[in-house]
Amino acid sequence: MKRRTFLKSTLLAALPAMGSPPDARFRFTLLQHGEHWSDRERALRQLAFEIQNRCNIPIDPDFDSVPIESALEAGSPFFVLTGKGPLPELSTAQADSLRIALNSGGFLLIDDQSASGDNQFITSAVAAMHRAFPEVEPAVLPSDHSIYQSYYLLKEARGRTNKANYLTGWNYGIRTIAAFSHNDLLGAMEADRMGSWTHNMEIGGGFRRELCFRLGINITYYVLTVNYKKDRAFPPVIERRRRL
Amino acid sequence: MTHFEYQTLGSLWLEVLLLIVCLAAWGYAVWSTRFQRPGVRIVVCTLRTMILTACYVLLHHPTWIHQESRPTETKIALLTDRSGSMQSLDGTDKSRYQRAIKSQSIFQSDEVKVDRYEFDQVAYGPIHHESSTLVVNGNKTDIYQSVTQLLNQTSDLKGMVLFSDGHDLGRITTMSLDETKAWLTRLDAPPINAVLVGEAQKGAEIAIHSLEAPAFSFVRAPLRIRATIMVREIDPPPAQIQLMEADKIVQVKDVQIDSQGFGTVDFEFYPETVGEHLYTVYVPPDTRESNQINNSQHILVQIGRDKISVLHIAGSITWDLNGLRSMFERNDQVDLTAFYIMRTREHVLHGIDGRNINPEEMALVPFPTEEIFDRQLYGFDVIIFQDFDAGNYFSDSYQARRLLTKIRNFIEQHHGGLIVVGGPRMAGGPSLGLSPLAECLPISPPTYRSPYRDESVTAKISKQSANHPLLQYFNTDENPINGYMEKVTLNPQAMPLLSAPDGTPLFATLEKGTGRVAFLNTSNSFQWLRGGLAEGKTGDTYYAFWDQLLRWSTQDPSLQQVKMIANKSTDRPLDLDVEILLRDRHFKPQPNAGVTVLLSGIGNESTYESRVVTSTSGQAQAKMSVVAPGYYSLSLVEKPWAEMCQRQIVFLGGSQDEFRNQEPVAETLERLASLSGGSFSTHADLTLDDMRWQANDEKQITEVRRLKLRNWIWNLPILMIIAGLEWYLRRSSHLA
Repeated sequence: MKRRTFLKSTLLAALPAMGSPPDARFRFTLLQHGEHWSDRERALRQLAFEIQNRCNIPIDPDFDSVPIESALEAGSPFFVLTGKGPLPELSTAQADSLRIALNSGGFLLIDDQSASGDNQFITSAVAAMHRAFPEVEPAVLPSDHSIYQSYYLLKEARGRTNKANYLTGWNYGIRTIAAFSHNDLLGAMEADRMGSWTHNMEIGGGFRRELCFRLGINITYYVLTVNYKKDRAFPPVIERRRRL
Repeated sequence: MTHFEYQTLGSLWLEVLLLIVCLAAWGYAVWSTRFQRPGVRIVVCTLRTMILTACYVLLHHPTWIHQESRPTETKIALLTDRSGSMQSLDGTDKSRYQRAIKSQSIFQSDEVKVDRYEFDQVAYGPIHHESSTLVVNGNKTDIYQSVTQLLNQTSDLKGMVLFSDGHDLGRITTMSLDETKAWLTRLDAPPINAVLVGEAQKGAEIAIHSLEAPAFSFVRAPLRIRATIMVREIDPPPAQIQLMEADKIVQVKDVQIDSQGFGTVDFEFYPETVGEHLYTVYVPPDTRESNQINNSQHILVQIGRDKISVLHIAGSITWDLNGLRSMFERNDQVDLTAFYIMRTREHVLHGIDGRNINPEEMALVPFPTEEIFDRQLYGFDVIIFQDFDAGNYFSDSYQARRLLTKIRNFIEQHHGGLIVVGGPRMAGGPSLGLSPLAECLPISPPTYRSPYRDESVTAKISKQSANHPLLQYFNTDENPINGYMEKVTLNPQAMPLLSAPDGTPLFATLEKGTGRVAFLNTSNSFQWLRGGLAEGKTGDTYYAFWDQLLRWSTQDPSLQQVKMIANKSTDRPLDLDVEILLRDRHFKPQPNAGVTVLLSGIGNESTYESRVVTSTSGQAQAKMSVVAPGYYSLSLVEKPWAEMCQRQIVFLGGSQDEFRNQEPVAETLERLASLSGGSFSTHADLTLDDMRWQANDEKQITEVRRLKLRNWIWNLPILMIIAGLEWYLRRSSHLA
C-alpha cells in the first residue's frame, strides 16, 4: 500500500470516531436571549456540582448555550432563561422552536434577576411564553405541586431576593412545561472559582441558600421524573412527613 | 240490538239554558190553556208537550243504531319451548321438543282455534306448519320475554298452553311472587296452562347443579367461579371439588352439603393470559351413581386485557427515563407502577452528598424490594429494568438469588414479560448475567463490570428479522444507537434484531417458557424522539417502537406469527368462520401454504377438518359447521404452524348456560300456572279437560245500521200534523 493511500484510509476510518456522539448525560442549557442571559453561568455549574454530589443523576457539570431558534438541537432540553430588564420579543421561528422543544419533554426555567419593583423582565417573559403557548395561562404552582416534593420536601420557593414565595408555572396537560422564579434563584447559588458566594442574600444566609439549592434539585428531578411523586405509593408518606 | 245515541249541544251551561227555555215554554203552553174545557185542555197540552219534546230531542242529534252480532270463537295459543335444553333425550329416543310436539295432537278440535308459537329468547309465530324436529339455535330460554311479546301482539287469547322443561334463564326465575303476579295482571294474561316436558333424574346422584361466572374477565384480575353441587341419596357426600383448566388443576376446594342436598363453592383465581379459557368443575363420582356425566361441567370465560400493568424500575434518573415515563403517562392502556432510584446506596452509605439531612425532610421511600418482588410480582404484565443495577439493591446474595429466581418463574411459568434496557449504571454494576435471570436474558453481560462504549453507531438489522413486528417502526438511519454495553453475549436461543457494526448485539428477544424477554442494549432511545422533532418530523416512531415492544411483551395476539381468528354468528350458531394468517418464525408471510384447520369436540369424539391454501399475503379463510352444540378446540394440524398457533376454545350452539344445565324445573311452570289461573300437568298425562280457558262472553258484531233522526224525511210532516191538530182543536173550541 502506498503511503498516501494508507494515510487517506486511516484518516477516513478515524473520522467517525472523531465525531462526538450526543452525550446522554443531563446538562443545563442556557437560552441565549436578552442582554443578561449569561450572568448566572457559574450558578449552573454550582447547581450541577451539588446534583452530582447529592443525586442519582448522571450530570455533565458543563452546560450548553443555544439561541432559542436552535432549542430543538439541544441534547438536554432543560432550558434556563435568566436576565433582567425587558426581553426581546420572540420571532415566529423562535416561538415555534420553543413550543416544540417544550412539548417534547423539555422544560424552561425562567429566573428573574431584577430588583424589587422592576417588572419589565416578568412582563416580557410572560409575553414570550404567550407567543409560544397562546392557549396556556400562567398560574401559581400550588404548594403540593411535584416540584416542591420531587426530592426534598419544600414549603415554598426561595431565592436571593424575596419578591414572592411561590413559582409561577405554565401547565400543559399533566406536565408543567415552564416555571418562573421571581426571586433570582440562580443568584443565590452563584459562587466564584474560589467558592465564595457572589451575591448576598436579601434575607437570611446559609440555610436559606441551602433551600435554594434544594429547590434547584427538586426542579431538576421534576423535569426528569415528571409526576413520579404523585404515584399512589408516595402521597400518604409525603402527607405524613409534612405534618411532622 | 237497538239503541239511540245522542250528542250534547256543547258546554253544560248551554244545555241547562235550553232545558230552562223548554220548561218555561212548556209551562206557558199549559198555563195558556186554563180557559179551555178540561178534555180539550188535556189533549192540547199533550200535543204541545210532544212538539216541545221533539224539538228538544232533535236539537241533540239523535241517532238510531241497530247492531247484529254473534259469539266469538275461543282462540288459544300453544307456546312450545325450542331452546337448547329441549334437545335433551332424558334417556328416551325422542327429544323433549319432539315429545312436546307429539302431545299437542289433542288440540286438533273445531271448537277452539289454535295458534302455534315457539319461543326461546323471544317468541316466533304463529307457525303454520307442524315440525317434529328441533332446528337447533341453542338460544337460552326466556319465558318472561316470550310471553310478554306474545300477549302484546295478540289481545283476544282465551288461554295459553306452555310446553317447556321450565329451565329458564331469563328474568322470571329471579322475580318474586308479587312481581310475577303484577306482571301477569299488567299483561291481562289469560290462564296459562303449563305442561312440563322432561323427566328429572331419580336415585343416587352427585351433580354440578349450576355454574356462575362472568362471560368476560380481565387478565391478572380476580376471576370468581361459583359452583353449586347437588347430592342425592349419597352418604357421606363428596368433600372436595376441583377446578381444572385442560388437564391442569387450578384449585381444589372443600364443600359443605346442606340438609337440602346442596353445597356452594367459590373459586377465585387470577388468569394470566388473554383468550378463551375453558374451565371444568369436577366432582369425583360415587360408585352408586347411575349417571356420572353430570359430575363435571365446563364453563368458557373470555379473558381480555383492560390495561397493561407495568412495573418500571429505573436505576438512574436520565432523559431516557423521562421519555419512557412520558410515554407511559400518555398511554391510557398502561397502568404504571414505578420505582426510580433517586439516591444510590453509595449516597446513603458513604454520605457523598456531605450533608446529614433528616430523611423526614425528603420525599424518598426505601426501595420496597420484598413488597414488589415477593408480594405483588404476579400482578404485573411487564417488568422493565431501565439501566438498573439490580444486584445492588438486595440485602444479601441469598435474597438476590431468591427474588431474581422468582422473576424467572414469573417469566417462565406465569406468562410474564421482561424488558431490560442496558445503560452505564447497569454496565458498572453486578451483572445480571451471573444471576438466576441469566438463562432468561437474550443478551447478557458476562462479567461484573461491562465496558460501556459511549459512541453513536448505526444499528444493523439482521436479514432474518427484517419482518419482525418490533422493528416495524424502527429506521436505522433515524434511530441511531448512542452508547451501548460492550462484550455482551447473545443467548443462543435468542433472536437478534439489531447489532452494532462490530457485531455487538443491541436488541434481541427471547421467548422463555411461557413468557417473553427483550433486551435493548442502549439507554438513549429517547433521543429518537428529539432527533425526529429536530428534523421536522413528529417523533412518533419512538412512541410506536415502545408501544409495539410493550404489546409484544404481553403476548398481544395481533403480534403472533400465526394468527387464527374464530368468528361466530348469532344467526348461524353452529357455524364458524376462521381467518388464518401464516407467517414464519421471522414474520415473513407464507403464500400458497396448505394448512388443515381442525375443530375437535371437547367431551365428544366429533372432529371436523377444513383444508385451506393461503393467498399471496399469507391469509386464508375456512368455513366450518358442526352438528351438535358444545365446546370445540380449534387448532392447526401441520407443523410448524401447529406449534406457532395457540389452540383456541370456542363454544358453538348459542347459549352456554342452556347447554350446560338441562335439568327440568317444574317449579317455574307451576308458579306461572297457579298465578295466571291455569293448570299444571306433565306431557305424559296431558288431557284437554284439564285445560282452563277464559269464559267466552264476548260477541263479534257482524252488522251495524245507523239512522240520524234529524235527517229523517218524515220529521217535518209528523211535526206539522201534530201542530195542525193542535191548531184545529183550538180553533174548534173558539179559542184561537
